[in-house]
Amino acid sequence: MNMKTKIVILALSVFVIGTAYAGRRSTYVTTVDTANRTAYGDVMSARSSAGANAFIGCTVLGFSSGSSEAICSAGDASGVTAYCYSQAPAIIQAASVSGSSTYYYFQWDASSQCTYVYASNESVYGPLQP
Amino acid sequence: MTRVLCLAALAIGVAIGALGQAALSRPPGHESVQAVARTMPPVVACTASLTPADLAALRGELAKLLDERLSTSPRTQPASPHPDEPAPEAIAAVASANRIVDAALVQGTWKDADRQAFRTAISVMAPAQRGEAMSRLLTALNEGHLHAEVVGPVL
Repeated sequence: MNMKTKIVILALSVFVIGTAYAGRRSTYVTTVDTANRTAYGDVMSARSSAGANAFIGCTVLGFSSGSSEAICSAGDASGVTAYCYSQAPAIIQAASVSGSSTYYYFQWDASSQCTYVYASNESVYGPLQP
Repeated sequence: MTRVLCLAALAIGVAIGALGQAALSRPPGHESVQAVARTMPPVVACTASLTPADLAALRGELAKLLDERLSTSPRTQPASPHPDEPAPEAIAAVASANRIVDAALVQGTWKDADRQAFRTAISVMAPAQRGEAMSRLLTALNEGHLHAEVVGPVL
């Protein structure tokens, strides 16, 4: 085995090992579609966005009367924002799934009520490094 | 039981009456007896008295009857005159929230002070009222009538 072959093997090994440690990763910058009333994106991508506009997430509110609500919000890099709220237990439960790398997708109706909330903490959504 | 006692008393009364009639056929000197027989018909008084065992049996029968009637009749809840009427402070909170949103719409912006005042208002609202207030605010934001100028979340 000559020197050239050894270098090629070493380079391939480093590439393979490096790829294996990174794991599968997906990034979704915050996207707001006001026409179709949908918004999605992952928290890490919003945080690492170049500008100061991007954000996404859901908040759960609790009241001493016993009622609770969820509010989901998103803003894209250009400053377009979207908000929805819900008192439905299923929506509140979905909105409660939150973490530093959560991916959100939500829809709302004409009265700004959330009609669908998808929240995922799968590993593919973060963190960005390595 | 009471019916039996009444019948017994009636029988006694008839017997007394028969005795009175018999006295009428007696020789004079028994006017007092004759007067009684003419002026006082046999009295039948249904003043039946029950033994403790009879009373207990009657109570049992009545309780059973009441249970049957109550189980077959539709139960009705006492109607509240205003079942869904919100509390006065909740009504005031709705008015306050509407004023906050109205003022913000005039300016076209949603600021930190608006958010704080709105939070205070919705905290005392009933869920239905809160839903309406939230719908109004968020729809104004979604449709671009309000521009959020807050640090952090809009609510």
